[in-house]
Amino acid sequence: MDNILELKNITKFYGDKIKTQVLFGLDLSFERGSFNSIIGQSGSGKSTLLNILGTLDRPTDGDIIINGKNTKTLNANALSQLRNENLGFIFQFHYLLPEFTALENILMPVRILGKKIDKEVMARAEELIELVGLSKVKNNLATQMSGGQQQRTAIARALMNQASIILADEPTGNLDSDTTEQIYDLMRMINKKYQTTFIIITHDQSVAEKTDRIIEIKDGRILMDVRKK
Amino acid sequence: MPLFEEFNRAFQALDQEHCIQLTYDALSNEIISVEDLYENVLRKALSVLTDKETDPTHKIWREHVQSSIVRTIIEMTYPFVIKQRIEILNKKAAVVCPDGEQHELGARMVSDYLRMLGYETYFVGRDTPRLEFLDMIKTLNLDVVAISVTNYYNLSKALQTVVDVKEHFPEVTLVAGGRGLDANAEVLVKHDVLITHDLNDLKRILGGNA
Ligand SMILES: Nc1ncnc2c1ncn2[C@@H]1O[C@H](COP(=O)(O)OP(=O)(O)OP(=O)(O)O)[C@@H](O)[C@H]1O
Ligand SMILES: [Mg+2]
Repeated sequence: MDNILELKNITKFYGDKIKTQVLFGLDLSFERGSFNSIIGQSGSGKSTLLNILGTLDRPTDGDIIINGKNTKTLNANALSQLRNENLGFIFQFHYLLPEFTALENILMPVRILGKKIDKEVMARAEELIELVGLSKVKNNLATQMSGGQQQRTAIARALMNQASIILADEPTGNLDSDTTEQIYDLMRMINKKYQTTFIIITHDQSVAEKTDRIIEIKDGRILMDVRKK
Repeated sequence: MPLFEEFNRAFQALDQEHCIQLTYDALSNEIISVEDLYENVLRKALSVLTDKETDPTHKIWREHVQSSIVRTIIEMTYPFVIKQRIEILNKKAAVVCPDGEQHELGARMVSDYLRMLGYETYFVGRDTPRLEFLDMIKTLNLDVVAISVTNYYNLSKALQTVVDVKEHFPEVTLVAGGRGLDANAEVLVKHDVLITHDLNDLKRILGGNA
């Protein structure tokens, strides 16, 4: 199988003086184009794991291999380049920049890579805006959109650099059930259309049960790793 | 027309009366056994149903009507179940779905299989709180607990339940089945749960001479 993302024997300790172990030797791999969820009790280590998967945080020990490249030996610059080119993030609180419009927020990853906003880039942004259903509010400031619209903006932003992997930490955490379903449908559609790999932390049964694989974390270990088919 | 084809045509048309007449006649005239009915007619008809993920035109209300037809047929088979009972064992079994599991038709069929194998059987069914399993086993003095998982999300609760039961009642035999286990049997097998797919499996594992 073609694994886009692999974790080998990942451990994580927090703290300098008093060390607490949060992850205990996790091995995991994700197939290209797969649609996965991570569940588990509060404090079990899900966000810690996702931040390590996304190279936002370093493990205490172990290897992360993204698109065949081991991230261990990369310096900070190379790592952030790898991240910006391959990974998109969606969080429960979407961290949109409040003083910018939806469109400007969606264009932000391009600016961060230091690329020019040319015609082609604008066309992609417009296509994504259309895709996530934000055409009407694309010029609204982030603060002038509903929670669901802000979350869709965050999804479009995550897709702007054609990320092959989207990591989402409770993307529907503060949404009502209808909006949750819309966001799920949107992520699934993107998964099918672009073969984007999704790894979604969720407390929402209605989301987890529709993903193709559920990984349950308990006390920093994999309790269960099951597949729909 | 072969029974399944005729049944399925009526089933797709939501023609409850025809579905029931057909199956009742087939059982009465001993053209099929309860096992045939469950495996080769009802399960087969249920398994060709689509779901929302694979078919955007899928309608849940249709699925509910079809479930209701199947349920009515299963309830109707009771006298045939008793007639086709192989023997009477001095043992008790319950069929239960874990916390969160709403699908219970498969479990309901399994409860009839256990009855046919000679168990005094309690059908507990859907969405049974994990913390009540121990009370149920003690109160009913069960020898066998059969767990049915359709939605694979519920494997988590099933797993916790199994661990609880093994800890407090190691002598109780645990069996499990259902679509949720199709790709994931090892999750429960690791904890000495026996996986069953049909009456033959149950016979082999739980039958009188086992
Ligand atoms: N920066 C940190 N420093 C020290 N401890 C931390 C830090 N971040 C998380 N922890 C601890 O690590 C453990 C796992 O936290 P994590 O955020 O990964 O849990 P989670 O599974 O995402 O929980 P939730 O569902 O509540 O978001 C917790 O006990 C938490 O207190
Ligand atoms: Mg978290």
